[in-house]
Amino acid sequence: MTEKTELDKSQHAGGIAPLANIAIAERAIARALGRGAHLPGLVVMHGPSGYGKSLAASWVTARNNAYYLQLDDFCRSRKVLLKRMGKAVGIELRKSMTVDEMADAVISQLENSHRPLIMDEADYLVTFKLVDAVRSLYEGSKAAILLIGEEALPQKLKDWERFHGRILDWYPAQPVSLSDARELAKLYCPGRQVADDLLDSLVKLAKGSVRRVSTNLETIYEEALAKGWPEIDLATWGNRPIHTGEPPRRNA
Amino acid sequence: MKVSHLMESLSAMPEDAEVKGIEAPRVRKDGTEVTQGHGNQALWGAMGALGTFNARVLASMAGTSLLTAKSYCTSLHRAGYLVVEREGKGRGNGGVLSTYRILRSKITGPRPPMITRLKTVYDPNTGTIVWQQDPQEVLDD
Repeated sequence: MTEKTELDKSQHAGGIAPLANIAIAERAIARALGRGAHLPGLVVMHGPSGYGKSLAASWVTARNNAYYLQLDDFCRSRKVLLKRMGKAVGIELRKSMTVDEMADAVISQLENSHRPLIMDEADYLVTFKLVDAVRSLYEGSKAAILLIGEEALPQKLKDWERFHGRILDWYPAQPVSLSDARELAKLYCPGRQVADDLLDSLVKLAKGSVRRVSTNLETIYEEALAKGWPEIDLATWGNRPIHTGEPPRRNA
Repeated sequence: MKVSHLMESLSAMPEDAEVKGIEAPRVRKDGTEVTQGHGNQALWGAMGALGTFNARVLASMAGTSLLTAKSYCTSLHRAGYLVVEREGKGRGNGGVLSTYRILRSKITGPRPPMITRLKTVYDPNTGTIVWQQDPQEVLDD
């Protein structure tokens, strides 16, 4: 009975407790924002794809009023990076501006707004040798900057000594846990009770991936709706498939 | 305004005014902060990072109510910022919410498009009204 009330309350608030990797990202940005004057303000969160880094990025962007920039394959030069940065921080960069002037404008906005910056898919910075450009933006503004990237990002950044030395701390993302799965069930199976034994098997098959647990919960929810199940445990689910993220096997 | 008055009003500024940086908060005449739009600010930031989402996930990340998130998504969908990846069905706890995707090309900057009282969508980054309610629709409602 108590559990039911708890569930209702949390749904009413429309909120969930932060997943482990959201809490880690929050810690990272708080550390960079609250650092002492002599400490660098760059922090790095890294982990495999599917670990819920986008969820974490979204939570910390919204709740810290951060600027958010997602890098991609087209962000290959300092000029493109600065144009993207200009857009992300909401300033107009005129076409007549030199790269140097653009950098000054971006730095000035970062410095004066006191807003932290989140750079997602930061591996592209290494791929396209833009690490030093980000270092200069940081040096100029001293803004708190959170880089989010793949598992190997710390190793890749080792080649950029001057940058590497300015990282305040590294935050590895954690594999999905049962308590994460309970929160995800509130998001993806609203109004249904998903039992721990089923959640546990989802977690075991997910190989750490928050995304895989979420996808399976969506499937479970739709099945629960169709069958009218208010509660779903491992026995209810039976031998229905649980996606593992592996490509389907060829039939012999 | 006399200089002495100016000085007075300057010293009356809240102490954290400087900390907030150059993006000054909207304040009322009495100096209290206008909180309208804070929810949309959070939702807009969360959307950009999520890319693809439903209103429940979005609300949970941004820390708003589900209702606020739903209504903002509906407006931004009409205005063409969001496309529906998967149409929702049903309502409430027996339903499935629509899955939206934000169009990267439509993210014009950090300021959230504003839903005005006149039911228009205004993008403060480009200074344009992107969508406006059909007057006939108002009459039909």
